[in-house]
Amino acid sequence: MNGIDYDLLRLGAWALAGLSLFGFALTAGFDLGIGTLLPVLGRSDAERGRLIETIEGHWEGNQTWFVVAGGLLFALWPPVYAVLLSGLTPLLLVALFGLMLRPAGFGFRHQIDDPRWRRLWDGVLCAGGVLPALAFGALLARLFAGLPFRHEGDALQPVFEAAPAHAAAWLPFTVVCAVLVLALFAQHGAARLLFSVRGVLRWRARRMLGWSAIAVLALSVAAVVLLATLPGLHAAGSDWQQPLAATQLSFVNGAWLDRYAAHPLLLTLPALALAGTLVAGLAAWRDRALTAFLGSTVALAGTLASAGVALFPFVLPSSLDPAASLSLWNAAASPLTLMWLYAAAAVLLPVVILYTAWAYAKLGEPGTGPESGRGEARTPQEY
Amino acid sequence: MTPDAVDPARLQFAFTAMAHFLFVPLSLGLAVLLAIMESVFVMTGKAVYREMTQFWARPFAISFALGVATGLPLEYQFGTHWAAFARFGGDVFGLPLALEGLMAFLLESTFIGLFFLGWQRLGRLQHLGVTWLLAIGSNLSAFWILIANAWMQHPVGARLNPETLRMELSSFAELVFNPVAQVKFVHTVAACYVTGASFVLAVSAWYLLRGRVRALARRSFAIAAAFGLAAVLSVITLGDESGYELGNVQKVKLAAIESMWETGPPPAPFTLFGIPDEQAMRTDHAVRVPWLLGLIATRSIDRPVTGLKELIAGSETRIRRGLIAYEAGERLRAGERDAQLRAQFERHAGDYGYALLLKRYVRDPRQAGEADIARAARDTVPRVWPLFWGFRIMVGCSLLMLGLYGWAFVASARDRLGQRGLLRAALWAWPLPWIASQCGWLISEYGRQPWTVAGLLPTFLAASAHDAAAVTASLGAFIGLYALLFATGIFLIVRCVRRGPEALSA
Repeated sequence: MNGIDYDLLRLGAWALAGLSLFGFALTAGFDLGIGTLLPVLGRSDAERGRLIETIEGHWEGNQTWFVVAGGLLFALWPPVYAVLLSGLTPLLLVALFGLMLRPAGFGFRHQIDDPRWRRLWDGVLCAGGVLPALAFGALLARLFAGLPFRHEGDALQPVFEAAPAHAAAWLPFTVVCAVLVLALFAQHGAARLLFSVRGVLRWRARRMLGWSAIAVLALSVAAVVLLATLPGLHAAGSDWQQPLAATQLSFVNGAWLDRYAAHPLLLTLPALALAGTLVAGLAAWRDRALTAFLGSTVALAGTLASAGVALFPFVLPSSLDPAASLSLWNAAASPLTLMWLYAAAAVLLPVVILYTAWAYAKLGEPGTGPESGRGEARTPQEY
Repeated sequence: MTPDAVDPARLQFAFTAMAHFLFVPLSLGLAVLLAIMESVFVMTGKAVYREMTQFWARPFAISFALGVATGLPLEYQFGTHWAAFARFGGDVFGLPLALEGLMAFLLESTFIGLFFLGWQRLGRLQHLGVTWLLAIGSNLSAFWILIANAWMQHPVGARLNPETLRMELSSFAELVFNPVAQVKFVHTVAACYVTGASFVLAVSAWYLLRGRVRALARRSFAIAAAFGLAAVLSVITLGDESGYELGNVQKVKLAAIESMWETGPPPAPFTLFGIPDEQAMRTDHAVRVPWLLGLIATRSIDRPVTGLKELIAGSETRIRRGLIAYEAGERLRAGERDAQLRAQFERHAGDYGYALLLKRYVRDPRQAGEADIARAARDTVPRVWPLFWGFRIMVGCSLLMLGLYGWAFVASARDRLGQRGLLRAALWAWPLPWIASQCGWLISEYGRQPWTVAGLLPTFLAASAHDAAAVTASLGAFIGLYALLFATGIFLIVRCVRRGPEALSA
């Protein structure tokens, strides 16, 4: 395996990791959003039941993208998996506990036919939507802030030290990112609902889509403005292929936006993110489900890609010792592992997309489906 | 580094993993049983089989939800609480986990929605296909997870990179066809089938004892009896024994399970009962069956089964070889480019972890004295009594189940399900598969100690650099959440069983 091939493989890791995170945001994003919006949009037991009906056939497969993304990150970048998760364990636990509530919420809600029982699990499902969204947003922000770690001698553990002084400066940015992801998922959930609900629920979903689009725009701008004032990893000499070999790594305010200054064409990505949100907001006004959903999908993809490009080639900077930072060059798995992962993804992802599409086609829209034609109403007991 | 955080982290992993395995075997076994019942429905067209499938799907739904919920923290715990292991082994260990997600878990969790909501929307054959894909997905999931686990037991298909101190995949085929994984997959999955069968058998027996839903209960009992008998035979005959012959760590595990301190003349006897005395390194009041262990473990009458004392002596040798690899590795990492040095490292890389064992006693293994080496060698043996007793309880449960399933199968084949003795036995035997599989995991993972990756990474070096208090707090949070979820889930399963299939048509 010569050097150029391994470079390509390592670049591929960046793409595949991004793709799996996008898979999670695209599919589980609207489930989490609808969970978050349950108490806002569904004012009665029946309304909340209708909202849950729109996602109960698919949420399980969607949430599995979290497990897929985790497995891929583990295998593609073992050191990132180790440092990121052990450095931010409390945030991870918040996300995990939130996501663990959801199988119970969906699985138990139908078991007893009593509005008070369902109300309990509706609350659980709402918490299961809010907590992971906030935690993922904060995690994303912490990638820019970096973690205070380095590697020491033959120690197998990454060594963490007390956060350096500038850590407190990152708090506003972290909060903005956490709420931004919550708003993005709410927007995505509201857009998804336009495919399914009618009447007053639809009216509320449209209004919510409009408001969340406004929130996403405002928070995105706030995040960029804050990022421009915060220290980013700057590679002097800027050989982007080997930034760690260059010893001139330092923290410079606003450096996370350097890449956009150097390659203005990349600004299309944040522009797409903003345009997607605008389109979703306008589609709410014009009541167009497909346009709204595509808009919010582009917003998710654009936001994710913009963040990734800003960090590139770093994945997890060290705020303690810039040279210890993990980039896609020094964190990648071995060539053989990467090749097996790509081979598996190339074969399996199309299959996954096919059967997921089949599942959506077959289940259709609950409540509008063929069971009325077959004369057998679905009773709660069947689930 | 805070070494005192290792024990709470181990406790947390043991708790979350064993809790996960309370519901996973039930779901996995029930998934296959549902597929069998629905196949009978499609083939015969008898409505009772559809009713059966739909009824047993309800406890399955609750169990599946708890299995999914408790599965999430397992994957992420490798990163949060076992960062050194994740960094060291992720290149190899992460691969089957990623494949599990892509190949198995997505399949299973996409089709479960169709399974529950698709009865009216899919044709009969389509729905049957969905049910089988759901069952196959859960089996595939177990397959990849057990490949990952087997690599910790017997790390094949990988080499240690001295510069990065990370394992690197060298052969995907060796990883997948790890003999430990093959045996373990069949053993574990069959144990899951027994668990599902025992649940159906016990509940059906309860209905029959009360004279409820006889048509459904008799058929369920018969299917569970036949399926459970086949599964329990697989568990026992295809059991773990061929795994013992492999690497050194598995030999230590076998000797510890048997509390066998000395290497005796072959064929080795099997200790039926005894009191292990770890201080004196002997087994008191031992009741032995001659020849049995030698036959099981070596499948011969002329090869000895190595005793713990000899294995400890062997570990001392491996520590010394590991020190050669450690020394060479440190020099390579410091930048020396010497082909001879690299060859020296490669030759002893398999014992690298034995040198790391010394880090419990000295900061730099190269500074270790003879006393440290002796203590580290003694550390390679896990505590004996949990393994000795865990194994005997597991085997005892399996044999009881074999008897029960033989009886149940014969009775249902001869259409004699009126025997109240059999029905009561089937009812009260329900905990046996759970006891056996929890003991099984205890033997497998506790018996792997002191290693996280056998021979390469000691457990006390594998954890994250957390405070003990923080890990204890998260363990407490897990226990609290699981207690709430499990209490609710078990309440719902019991309620669903009590209301019975009659509630379906109500």
